[in-house]
Amino acid sequence: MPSTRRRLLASAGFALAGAVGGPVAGAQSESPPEPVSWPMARYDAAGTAHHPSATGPRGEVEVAWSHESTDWFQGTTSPISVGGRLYAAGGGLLALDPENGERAFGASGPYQSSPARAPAAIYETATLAVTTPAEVFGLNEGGGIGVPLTDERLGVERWRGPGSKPGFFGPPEPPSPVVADETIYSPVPAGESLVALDSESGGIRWRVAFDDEETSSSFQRPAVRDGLVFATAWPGQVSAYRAESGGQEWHRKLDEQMISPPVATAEGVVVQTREDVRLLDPADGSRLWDAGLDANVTDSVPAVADGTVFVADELASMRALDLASGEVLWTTPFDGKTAPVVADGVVYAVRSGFELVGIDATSGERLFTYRPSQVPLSAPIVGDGRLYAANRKRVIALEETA
Amino acid sequence: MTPESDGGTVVDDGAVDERSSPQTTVTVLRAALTELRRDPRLLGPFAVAGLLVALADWLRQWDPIPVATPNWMAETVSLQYSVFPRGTARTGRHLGAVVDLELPYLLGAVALETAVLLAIGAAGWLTMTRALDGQRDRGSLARYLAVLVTVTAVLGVFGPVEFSPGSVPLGLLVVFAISFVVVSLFPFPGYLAVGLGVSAALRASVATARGQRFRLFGLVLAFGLAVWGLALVPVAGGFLSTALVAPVQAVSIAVLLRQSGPVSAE
Repeated sequence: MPSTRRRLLASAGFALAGAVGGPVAGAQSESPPEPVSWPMARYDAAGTAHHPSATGPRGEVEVAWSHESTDWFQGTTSPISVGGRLYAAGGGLLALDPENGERAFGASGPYQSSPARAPAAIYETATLAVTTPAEVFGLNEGGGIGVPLTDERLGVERWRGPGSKPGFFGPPEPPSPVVADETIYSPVPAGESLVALDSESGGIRWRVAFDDEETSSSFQRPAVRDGLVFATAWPGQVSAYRAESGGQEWHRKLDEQMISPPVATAEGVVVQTREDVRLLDPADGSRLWDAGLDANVTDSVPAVADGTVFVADELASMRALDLASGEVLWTTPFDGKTAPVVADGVVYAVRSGFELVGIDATSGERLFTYRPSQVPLSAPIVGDGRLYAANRKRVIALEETA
Repeated sequence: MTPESDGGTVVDDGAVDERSSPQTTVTVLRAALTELRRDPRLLGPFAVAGLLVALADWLRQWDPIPVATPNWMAETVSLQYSVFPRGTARTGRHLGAVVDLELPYLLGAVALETAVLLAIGAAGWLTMTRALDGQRDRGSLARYLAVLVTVTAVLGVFGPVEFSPGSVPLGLLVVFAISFVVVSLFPFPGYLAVGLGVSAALRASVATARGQRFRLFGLVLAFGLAVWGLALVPVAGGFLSTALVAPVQAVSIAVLLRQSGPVSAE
């Protein structure tokens, strides 16, 4: 077992350290409290996209800073914020100071998805799990070693995980990994399986695939809660696996083919199909309620905050539904696909990658809109009064206009 | 004596008269194998090193530090040739796997890689000095190990050279250049083992290679393919490639050095 290995190897290392008379590091030292963090896409392993303590702008916004000086950067996925740094992937990994956008380090590479931060006990720095259209990678949160007088870095890549060859129609959108309890859960890019990976070694703890592998497509971003991993894939496949072993808890095939990534809540698992939103019982996948919408959803993802589900119909509106009953609480004009995030009573939703909209989470009132000079604009993350997003060749921070 | 059609001369006991030039790749290999048969103790050092390589393969997969599978394992054919006689492990560690490791793990990982490298270096030095009946002094061993460790560390840090030529002529030019360098360095470890300094060993190596580069290129191909083929064997690949190919390469270097004239550090 990994823990036994760790103990033995550490013992050997300690013995060696003693033998050479060098200093020996103990357990990871206490670190000061970290600023507001957003450690993975959709904020948490459950995929709620709701930060309970972050604050963001509530009115018109302006650019606080824009990082545009990294020429290889081309980002379309949300950044993350951990340990006082902002990490964005897109043609590489970029680490920025969230205060002013100054670059801490950058390393070009094939990485595209939002990173997910996973603590790694045998390292002084955490692992950032990130995917490309073909593989999963584990990167050093600290950025490895800079080569003096150059822009190059060595040792950024900690491990290379499982992957597949992109299919006939080219590379798909790289899926975002999820981290829970030091384990990385990720769809295998371009493959038909979902893996649980060790954050230290990248080793596969378990791998699962739908029984109907012949007709299923790649897994979407999974959701993890209370020891269960919920996974969805086209056509209408939903499963729950035990996070510890990968054993299947239940499997359902819905009567709708299009299905969104799941959101796990205490009340149940929220999934959105082309024409409705459903709450599934986490114990067996049975339907607790469904809310039919006049919708044509193909790419949107729900968000859940404080007992409310926020969904776009990809036609003309965004709705707030009561998580307990599925009752529609409000409807507001909103067209296009989106993956909204919620913080401090505001829903932040990017409309089809070109316009950011701020909506009051309680009333549905539109608070502000922002159109960047470049497209696409990623879904934002929220922290310390600001929004952060990747915006094609740049990373931007938005703050409320003074 | 029995005249050989390929130009070398085999004496009655099977040994090759190395000074009856010209020799071919086959006669050099035959001479090396004959010498190994005559003195099986030459196989000992690399057998021990091979066991360590196999043990390291197992440990890398067992411990919690990321392990890398070499790219050549997935290739249809590959040339795993090293200027310093050695086999190849079935697993490895990238630099990124050890950067920012907690100290006990870092020490454990570095100790493992260093032990394997030193064992391989010592095995090469022991085999070549024994085959050359040369003086064994600590200075030459230290120099041999220092160069081996330096070359391995530099390649480990900056990674294997990956080149995708934009055109066939350019690709051929690069292959030719790399082959020229590798062939010129074929005898280099032997001169280090007998006590020459690095620059003197380089000069002697280039001089020895001059005029017999095709033969040496054949040896490079033979050893590179043999190491690759044996290393593909599950579990035991690291041991087999080290224990079986590396001693033949080491003794082949000794054969070449003897053929080129008196060998000593003076």
